[in-house]
Amino acid sequence: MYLIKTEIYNFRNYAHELFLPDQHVNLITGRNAQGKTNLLEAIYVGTAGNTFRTNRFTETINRQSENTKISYLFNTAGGTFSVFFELNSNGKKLIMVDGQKVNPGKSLPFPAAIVFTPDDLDIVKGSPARRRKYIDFELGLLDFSYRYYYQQYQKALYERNNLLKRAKSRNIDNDLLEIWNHQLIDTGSRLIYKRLQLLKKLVPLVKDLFLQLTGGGEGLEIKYYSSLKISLNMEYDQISNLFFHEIAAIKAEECARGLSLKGPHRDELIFYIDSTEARQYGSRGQQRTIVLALKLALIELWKKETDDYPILLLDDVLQELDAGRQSFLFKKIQGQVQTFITTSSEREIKQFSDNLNNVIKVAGGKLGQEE
Amino acid sequence: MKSGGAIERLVRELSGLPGIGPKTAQRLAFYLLSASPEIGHNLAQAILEARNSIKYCSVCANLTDKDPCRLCDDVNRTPDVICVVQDSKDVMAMEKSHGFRGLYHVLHGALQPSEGIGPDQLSIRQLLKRLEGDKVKEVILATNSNVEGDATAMYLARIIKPLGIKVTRIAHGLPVGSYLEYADQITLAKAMEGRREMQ
Repeated sequence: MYLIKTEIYNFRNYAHELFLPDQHVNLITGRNAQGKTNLLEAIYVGTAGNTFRTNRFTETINRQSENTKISYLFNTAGGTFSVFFELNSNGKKLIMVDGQKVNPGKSLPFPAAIVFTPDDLDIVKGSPARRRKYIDFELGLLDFSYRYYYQQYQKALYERNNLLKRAKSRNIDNDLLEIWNHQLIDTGSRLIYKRLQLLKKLVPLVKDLFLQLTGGGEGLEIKYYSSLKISLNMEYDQISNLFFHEIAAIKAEECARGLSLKGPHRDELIFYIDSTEARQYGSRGQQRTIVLALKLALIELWKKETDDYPILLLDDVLQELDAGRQSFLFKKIQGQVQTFITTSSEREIKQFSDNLNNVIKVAGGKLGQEE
Repeated sequence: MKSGGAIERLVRELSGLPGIGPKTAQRLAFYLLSASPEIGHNLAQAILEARNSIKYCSVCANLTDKDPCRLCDDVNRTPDVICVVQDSKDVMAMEKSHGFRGLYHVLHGALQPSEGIGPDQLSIRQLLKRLEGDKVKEVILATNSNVEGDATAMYLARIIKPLGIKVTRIAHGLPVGSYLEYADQITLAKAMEGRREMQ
C-alpha cells in the first residue's frame, strides 16, 4: 500500500500543507527543528490513529490552533480509500474511513506503517518492557483481536493487583480472588497463545534476514521467555490450564506482595548470537543488525499475511547503519515499499541519489521540492 | 468578560454534569438567563422534586418515586425471573425493548477493586434476600460485556447456582439488522462463541 496524498491542518509546526509523496522512496531533508519528523508523525497518525512519539497526543496540535485535521488518501491492493482524522484540544478524536466514522478504541481496519528510529536499539539493549512493546504494538498489529485482548488483560491485571494490594492489610476474599484469577487467566492465556502464533511466523524471517545481513557468519536465536512453564507448541487450553495451576501455587506470595507475579506482563524476548545473550554481550553493530532484521521481518510478514506491504518510516536512522546495511535495506524496499526517510545530512542525499525518487526540503513547517 | 459570582457558579455546576463541557455549560447558563423566567424555574423545580422524592426501591434497588417501585408492584409481570443489571439506565433500555416481562435487580455498579467496589458496595445482599424461598426460578445476568461486567456476572453465578436456581447470561453478539461484513472482528468472534443450535 502507499500514501497518495495527505493534507495537513494545524499539526505540530504545520499550519496547512498538501503533500503528494512518491510511491517509492521519499527523502525528507532540512536543518534541525524544521518539521521533518513531524511529517513522518503526521503520516503515522493516518495509519494508527495515534502517534509514536508522545503519550500526550494533544501536544501535536499546532499551538495557534484548537484542533488538528489531517486527511489522507491511501492506495492498497483492494483499491483506494480515504482517512480523515481530527483531534481536539480536549483530547477528543474523530476518525473516518471512507466517510464512515470508526471507533478509535476498537481495532482499526487500517493499513500499517512501520517506524524505525534510533531509539529502537532499545528493543535489544533496553528493558524487558521495551521488548514487550515491540510484540504488543508492532507485531500485535497483525492480529486484529490482539489489541482487544491486550486491553482486556491490562484491565484484568490492574483490577487484580488492586485486589491483592488490599489483601495485604486484610484477609483476601477467596471467591473474589478466583473471579479475578479467571479474568486474568482467560485474557492472559489468549495473549500468550497469540504471541506464540505470531512469533512462530516472525522468528524464521528474522533469523534468515540476520544471516543475510551478516553474510552467514553468525547465527541468531530468539526465545520467548515466559513466567509460566509453557512450551511453544501449546494450545490455548493447555496454556490456561498451566496458568491456573501456577498462580494457585503462588497465592500466598502474591497476597503478601500485593502483586500479580505471573502472566504475559512478565514475559519477554531474549536474543542470542552464537549462544551468548545479545543484550549484554552483543556489540552495538550486532544489536543494530538485530533491530534492522526485526523491522524488515515485520515488513515481510505483513506482505505474507495481508498480501500488501506496509509503509516504512525511517526517522534519522540511516546514518546509524553502515554502508553494507544501508544498501541491504535499499535492496529490500526498492520498488515495493513506500518509504519516508528523514535526514539532516546533505552527504546522504548524494550518497543515495540513485535510490531516491523524491526529495522534499522542509523549512519552518513548509514543504518544498528539491530543485 | 467580567461576570458575577452567580453566573459563574451556574456555569460551574452545569459543567460538572456528565457529557457537558465548559462551553456547553456556558451556552446553557446564558440560555437559562435570557429565556423566559419560567423555563429556569420549572427546571429547578423539576430537579428539586425528583431529587427529594426519588429513592431506591427496597426490593429491586431501582430508582423510584414510590416504594416498592411500579415494576416490582406490577402483577402482570412474572415474578419468578429476575434480570440483574448494573444501572437504572439499563432497566430503562430493557423496558423500551418490551422483550422482558420479569422483574429486575439493579446492582448500581460492577466489581472494581481499583475503585474499592466489592460485593458489599453493590446491592448483592439485597438480591440474595429476594432469592430466599422458592419463588425465583431463573436469574438472568445482564451486566455489561467487559472485564468488570463479566467478573461481576461470574461472581453472582458462583453464589446463586448453589441455591438451586437457574443462572443465565444474556447473549453478546451481532446487532440486529446489521450485515456480517460490517461487524468488527471481536464482535464476530464473540458471536461465534455464543452460537446456538437451530430448533
